[in-house]
Amino acid sequence: MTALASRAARPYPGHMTAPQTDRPLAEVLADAGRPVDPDGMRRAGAELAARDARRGDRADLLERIRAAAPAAAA
Amino acid sequence: MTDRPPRLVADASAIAGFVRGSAAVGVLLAEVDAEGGTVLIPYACLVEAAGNVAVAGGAPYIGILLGHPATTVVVDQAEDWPMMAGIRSMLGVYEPAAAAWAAVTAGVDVLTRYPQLYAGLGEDITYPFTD
Repeated sequence: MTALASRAARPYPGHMTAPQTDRPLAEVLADAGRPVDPDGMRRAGAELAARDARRGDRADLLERIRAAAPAAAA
Repeated sequence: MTDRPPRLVADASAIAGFVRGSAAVGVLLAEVDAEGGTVLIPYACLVEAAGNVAVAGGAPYIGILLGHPATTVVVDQAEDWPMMAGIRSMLGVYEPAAAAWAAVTAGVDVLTRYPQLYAGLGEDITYPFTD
């Protein structure tokens, strides 16, 4: 399997910068003078869930990206 | 590394939006945190946003953003260069290409003020905000 074919199947390598707190972000923002609306959070949660439910596997998009990649690497 | 599942990717406009006090971005990040997830911040997007907002006094909010486990900075993998170059050729700019590739590989959407930047993909992968 080439790197192009296998990339999407690997775990995503992420790097957390040093956490400064384990408090909820909503509390941190409130302390910074930017309180977040709890109703807005509920709506955001519903929207995120709806997007998860309707998102496809993006196989066609991956193929278009692969087709646009430099030919020498395909 | 983080055990939190990725739920969104923040591009440079979303990072700048957070720093400038966008209620939509703040609410989304707070909700992702409450759900135990994380928002991916591609390194290129961080640099692009920080280079603009730091000079406008936004550095403390970048510190809040990066100092919380609700975000995870992700860097390019060297072996991904062909796919990154492919997306770059489709979008014409590197920074949104980095956000798009992170979103495609993580299976999430890109939080952005400028969804038109991603139109060249031929498929909507954006989660737009306007405030």
